[in-house]
Amino acid sequence: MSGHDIHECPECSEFMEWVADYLDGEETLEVRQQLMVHAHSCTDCARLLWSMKRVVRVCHSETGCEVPGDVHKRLWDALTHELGMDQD
Amino acid sequence: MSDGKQLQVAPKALPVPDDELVRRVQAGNAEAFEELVRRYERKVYNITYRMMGNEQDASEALQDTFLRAYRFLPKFQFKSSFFTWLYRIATNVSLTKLRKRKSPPIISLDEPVGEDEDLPLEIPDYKYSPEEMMRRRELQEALQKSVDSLPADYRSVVVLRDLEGLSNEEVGKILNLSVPAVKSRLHRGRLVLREKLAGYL
Repeated sequence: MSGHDIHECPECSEFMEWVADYLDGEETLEVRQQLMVHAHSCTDCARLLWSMKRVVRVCHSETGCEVPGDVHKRLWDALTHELGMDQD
Repeated sequence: MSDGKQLQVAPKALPVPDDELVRRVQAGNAEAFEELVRRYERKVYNITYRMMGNEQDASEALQDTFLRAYRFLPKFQFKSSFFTWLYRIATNVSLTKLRKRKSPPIISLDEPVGEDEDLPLEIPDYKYSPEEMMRRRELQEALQKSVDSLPADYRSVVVLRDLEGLSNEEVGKILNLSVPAVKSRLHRGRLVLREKLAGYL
């Protein structure tokens, strides 16, 4: 349960700023250590860090979809029409 | 090669670089444009689908993107890579359509109506059990719904950065934003996704 408002706690606010860099692997070693120290002492921030990592992992695991057949056909019909106009 | 003979393998032809294809289009070769479309159709569709949230709108945005690209390609000056330029068109077309959308997202008649038969084609991954496949599908649907709920400015950053895997610098070039602005929008977007996906994480 939330013991305090992480938006009001200066340490937690700083943590929030570091999280973005951490998620992109752009944190310095010092920031990484501070993040870990804080996460060990603050359940709310640890939970936030964990869930943000999951969000990023879920997004990165998305491989995207194939173009549906009818969408592909509509695109090429439009292009053929357009390119045909130009070739005349 | 147990008999000691060396197999003569014909060297694979390297794909023609994008810039070369663009030059050919600029010189009047329409076939070169077709090759560019084949190369980027799937990527652009994924961007427009993620941005628009339904197949019908994504399909229109896909067409608009390539038609505009064809129209404006004669003015392309090679100041950026072709794909950056193309993704910018795709994102701008999608953002314009989103801003014009006054009502809730249009539900396409082509969209799945709840039964499995119309679900987008997925190649089965036998690494996963049926339960795990089901869970992943639910998560994918929840993710798209969460992305749909993002404000347009955050959505474009999240789509390009986290779903299409571009770098902060590339996203900045596409959206005409500084890298710190990309990072800030990305972080806020991720916070919203975290909230929306809470039940799935």
